[in-house]
Amino acid sequence: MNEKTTNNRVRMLKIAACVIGLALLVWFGIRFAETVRVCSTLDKNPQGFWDSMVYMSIKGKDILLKGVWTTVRIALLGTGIAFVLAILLVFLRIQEPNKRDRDAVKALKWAACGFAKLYVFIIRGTPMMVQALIFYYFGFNMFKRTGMTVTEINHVWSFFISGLCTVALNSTAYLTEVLRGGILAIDRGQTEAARSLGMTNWQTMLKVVFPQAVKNSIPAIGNEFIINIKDSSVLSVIGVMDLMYATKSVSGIYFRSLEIYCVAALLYLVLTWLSSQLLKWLGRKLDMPVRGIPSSN
Amino acid sequence: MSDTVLRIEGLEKSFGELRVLKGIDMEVHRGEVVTIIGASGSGKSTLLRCVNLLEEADAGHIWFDGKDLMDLRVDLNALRQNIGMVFQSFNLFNNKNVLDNCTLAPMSVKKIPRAQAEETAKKHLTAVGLKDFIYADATRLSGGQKQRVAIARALCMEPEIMLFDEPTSALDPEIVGEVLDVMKELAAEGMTMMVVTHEMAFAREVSDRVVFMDQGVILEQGSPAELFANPKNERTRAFLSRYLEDK
Repeated sequence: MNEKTTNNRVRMLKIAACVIGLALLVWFGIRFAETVRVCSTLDKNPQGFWDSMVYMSIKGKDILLKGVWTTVRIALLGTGIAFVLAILLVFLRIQEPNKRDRDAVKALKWAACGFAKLYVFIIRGTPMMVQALIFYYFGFNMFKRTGMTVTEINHVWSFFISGLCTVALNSTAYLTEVLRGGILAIDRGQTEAARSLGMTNWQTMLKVVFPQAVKNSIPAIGNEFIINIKDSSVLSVIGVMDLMYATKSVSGIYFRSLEIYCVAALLYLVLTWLSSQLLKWLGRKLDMPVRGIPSSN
Repeated sequence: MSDTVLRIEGLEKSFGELRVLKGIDMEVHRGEVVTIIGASGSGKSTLLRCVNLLEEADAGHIWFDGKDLMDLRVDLNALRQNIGMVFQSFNLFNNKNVLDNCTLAPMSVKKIPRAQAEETAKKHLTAVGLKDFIYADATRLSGGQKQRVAIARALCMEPEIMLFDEPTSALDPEIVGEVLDVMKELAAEGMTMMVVTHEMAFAREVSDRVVFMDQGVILEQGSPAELFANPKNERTRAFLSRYLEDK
């Protein structure tokens, strides 16, 4: 067989595949539109798997979208707050007693570094679901001691607020390690050059090492955001009305589980995929390496 | 006797079991250019790095500006302002452009206003032939250009002494010249310099004194004419023989 016929065959096959693919897509489109049309007129959950998925998605649209919005807010705000806190914590983490320091400074540095290490150790070593529960009840009990009523507490220390705090404090530990890695990855020569010019340790960190470390950490910070979209699902355990909680609600209303959890999975997938596309685009803009959707912590 | 800028007494330094400096005594006078030569691993770079405390020596004294740098109570940052350092690997700040590399330390350490710091920086950058690269990204320069920026950056702090740690070792032979020319000019202007180098021609031509180090000790020192023409020590002769035969 010569090369020309091979090329021709390959081309034919490609065209055939395209035609079949297009036909399938159109068919699915028509089927889907039809299902949506039929299901929106129904007033009873249909028996079929796909039909039921579509039916519950349409009927529970408002609840689900509210859940999506809560999940996105928690992931976005949580990662943002965690980033700020992690910057503070990593400053503590990288303190190293120097033999030229006064004794008080040495002790302070030792304590600061120890605190950061302990924090990271505890947070990374326990599940976020447990952290969420401890955190919520801890806050609740604290407010209770001030003599507030349950209604008042629920207003101040709402599920959303305590859930957001959980995600933020949890991510702080991970982002601290991310930033520490970023700092360690900066060539020692950068520090040496700054110190040799008479800059203090603090100035060196602030003006030379840190800007570079943060820039290098941006992809990993984006990953943490995506992880938070997924992992915030455990917050439903304390009653945060995120996507997971919304899914449970819809399932409770229509007495179907498998179908609606498949819808939830699809929605999470869309969220993480969109975020990773957004981060890739950002990464290209900022001239940085790109990564796929990360696995959970 | 001319006045002494730097006096090193009995300096010792070990990395674990390895004794890198075994008691170094030397002086550097104002306006003098001292080159330190010797085989790799002889402790030349460590000696230089100990002078501005990038490495902390284990024992000995480093007298500079009437203060002992080895004294734990001394203000290191203040003294380092007066000791310029140029590294083998340039170490320009990667997050800054050429001008900002030069103005960062004067502005943050000496609190010099930006306009004045930039004026000084431009003067030094022009002197090293980089007038056209003032706003260039530091990471986009060639090795020779980077090293000339590094020299300008150190000069912006107006140091009393400049330390050069193998400033041309990371450069290709064609570019070495442009950095050495800058250093020669600096020497001619009367800058006090301590240079660790493998550039024997530079050592011979520019320096007032050549120090030969071997296995953590100074084996021999003297004027380049003495040392290159008539090395007294057997080890010095062996080290220089290759270079001298080439001539």
